[in-house]
Amino acid sequence: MMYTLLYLILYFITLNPLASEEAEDIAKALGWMAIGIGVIANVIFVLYNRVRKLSLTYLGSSNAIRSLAVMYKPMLNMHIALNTIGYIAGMVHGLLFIRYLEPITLSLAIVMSVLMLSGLLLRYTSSRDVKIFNRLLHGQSILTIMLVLLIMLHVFTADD
Amino acid sequence: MSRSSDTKQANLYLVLMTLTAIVMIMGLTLHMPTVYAADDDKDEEYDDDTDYKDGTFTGINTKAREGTEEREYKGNTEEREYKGEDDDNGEEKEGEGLGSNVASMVLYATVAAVAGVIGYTGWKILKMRSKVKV
Repeated sequence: MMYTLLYLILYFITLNPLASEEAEDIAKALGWMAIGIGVIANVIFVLYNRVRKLSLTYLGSSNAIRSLAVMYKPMLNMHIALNTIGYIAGMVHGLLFIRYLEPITLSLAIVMSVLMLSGLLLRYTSSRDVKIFNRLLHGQSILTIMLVLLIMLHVFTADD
Repeated sequence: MSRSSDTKQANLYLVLMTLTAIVMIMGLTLHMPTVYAADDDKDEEYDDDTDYKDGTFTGINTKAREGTEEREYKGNTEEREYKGEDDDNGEEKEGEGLGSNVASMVLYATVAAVAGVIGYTGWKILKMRSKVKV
């Protein structure tokens, strides 16, 4: 796994100087794809959670709430899958443009990685403490705000 | 939200702000010598006339200003043009430095915020565990 990852990284870095204008367009499209997928994955999931919690507060127990509760697992899986695809697209975009690496992009990569890692650990670990830690970390609003701000900064400054 | 959780939230933001401020100050301090060094180099270039002595223009600073010799006057003009190029380069350097400083500040703030959030979360978990043990 590690060797494959290393090979992929080296592949992108080696190919990078040979990238044509078309390849750059594709790499840019990957960046926009990452943003789009991230927005879809997170907005839908956050809205779903809000509706579920509000309905639980105001409606009590009903069929609608039960069906919403049943939907939780598929919604969570969709959230994870879309975010993973978006993260990979974003990272490939970053690797293709690694020669233009600047502090804002690096900050964005750090925040993305922290959120992604905490989300994956939250889903796929069984240890109670690790789960609580990642639940708290993944739900920190300051990280989300930073992610949005850094994406905006990156989009505005990337062409420079 | 209870009073204790309010205090915790306030503490968290205080810690985060402090960390961000420390990292920003560290970043500024680290970048300051570079900016000053660039300015010093620029000043040295202006003060140092040795480069021009070997070329066409010698003794320009005093005589050319008086306008006694045409050749020297021309030399002065060319030198001024040369200085102008230096000015442009200097401005570019300063601009790049400022830009990279702001971007570096963003990086320092991000690292500080991420470290702060991870630290706060870890501290919360440890506190919870110690409460459970008691």
